[in-house]
Amino acid sequence: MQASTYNHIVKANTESIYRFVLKMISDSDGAKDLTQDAFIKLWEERNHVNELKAKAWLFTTAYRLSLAYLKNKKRFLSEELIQDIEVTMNETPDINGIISQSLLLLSEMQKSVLLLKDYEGYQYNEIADILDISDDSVKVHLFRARKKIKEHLKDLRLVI
Amino acid sequence: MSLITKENIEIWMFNYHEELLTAFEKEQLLRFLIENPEYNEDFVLWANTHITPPNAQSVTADITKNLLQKETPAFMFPTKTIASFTGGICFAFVCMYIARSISSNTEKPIVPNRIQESRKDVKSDSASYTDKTPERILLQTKTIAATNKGMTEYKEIEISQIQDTASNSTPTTLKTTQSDLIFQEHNTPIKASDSISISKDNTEQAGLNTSEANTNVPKTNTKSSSKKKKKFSLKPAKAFNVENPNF
Repeated sequence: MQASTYNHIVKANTESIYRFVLKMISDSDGAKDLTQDAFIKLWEERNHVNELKAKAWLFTTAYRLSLAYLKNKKRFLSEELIQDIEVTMNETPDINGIISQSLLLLSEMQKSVLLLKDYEGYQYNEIADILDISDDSVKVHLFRARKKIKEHLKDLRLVI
Repeated sequence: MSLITKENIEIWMFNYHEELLTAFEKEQLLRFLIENPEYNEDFVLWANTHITPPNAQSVTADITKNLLQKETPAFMFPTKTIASFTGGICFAFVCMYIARSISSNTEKPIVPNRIQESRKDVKSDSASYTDKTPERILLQTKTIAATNKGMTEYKEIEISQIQDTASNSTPTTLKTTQSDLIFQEHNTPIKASDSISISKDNTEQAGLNTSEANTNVPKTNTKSSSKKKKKFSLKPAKAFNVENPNF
């Protein structure tokens, strides 16, 4: 992979990788760092990465980096923080904001599947390749993620 | 899929919004929702679970600037440059070699096989010329005595002339034995038209008697002295008679 190809990939995928990481870790500064880390890894492994599959490779790397980041930050993610988020959600009844913030209620795998499906428009088999799981597992994780969001939205309506 | 029930209605609604149902299945689900309106709220909530990506382009602009790599042109890579240069030189040499071999092949004259075969018969070191169908004419075979400068030994030479049948021109070569010696003594080349006679000094050994053989006058120039013209006179035959009916 030459520098021109790498630059083309950077320009085309930086935004989507950043969005994905931001939703995964809910930290804008951390998302910036992890996004850069993912592209730096791509440059280091440029001779082993297929250009046509660079985007999927980036999402896989970003997912793993996000998991590692969340493991390190897990002690800070207490139940109190989640309650604060719910309060913020109640204060801002915008449906997109509520759904985005409700991602915090999902597991990493459910969140990843949902983001890859809705943000990037990947098919089940593509998500399965990125996350290294089966197609049926993708469907199961996605169903559970949407059901959680639906239940959360239902509870908010009852509150409102 | 199986029939729609209260237990699997959520799976049906999930599949509906994921666009995994056929047209017939979609119609089945909508008919079920009409018959069971208490599920309409859940049906709308399932539709809202799809999230839309926010616009984060302004945030990622700085990241993109930091991540871009400097694009170096191809000739800046030393290995590639050296490899391409070496390859070009090798290609040029191969082209030159091929062109030279082609030109050397084309410069050769095309000689018919017949001419090539006749060339093989010509020997450069011999004085003879033979063709495949020569007409070998033996002009004279005589004994010549070398008399000049007190030479007493007899030398026998055989003079033969090979004449090309195609040309019928003057004789091309003379095949001689010890011809050089004879030519030096006589200082004249021998031609086919020349008549070779026997010298006076050697007439006795040659067993010939001539009118001049008995003379004791030494002859220095054997060629000029040995030549004698024969006179022929035409006379009618004895049997010739004008009145003879046979004539």
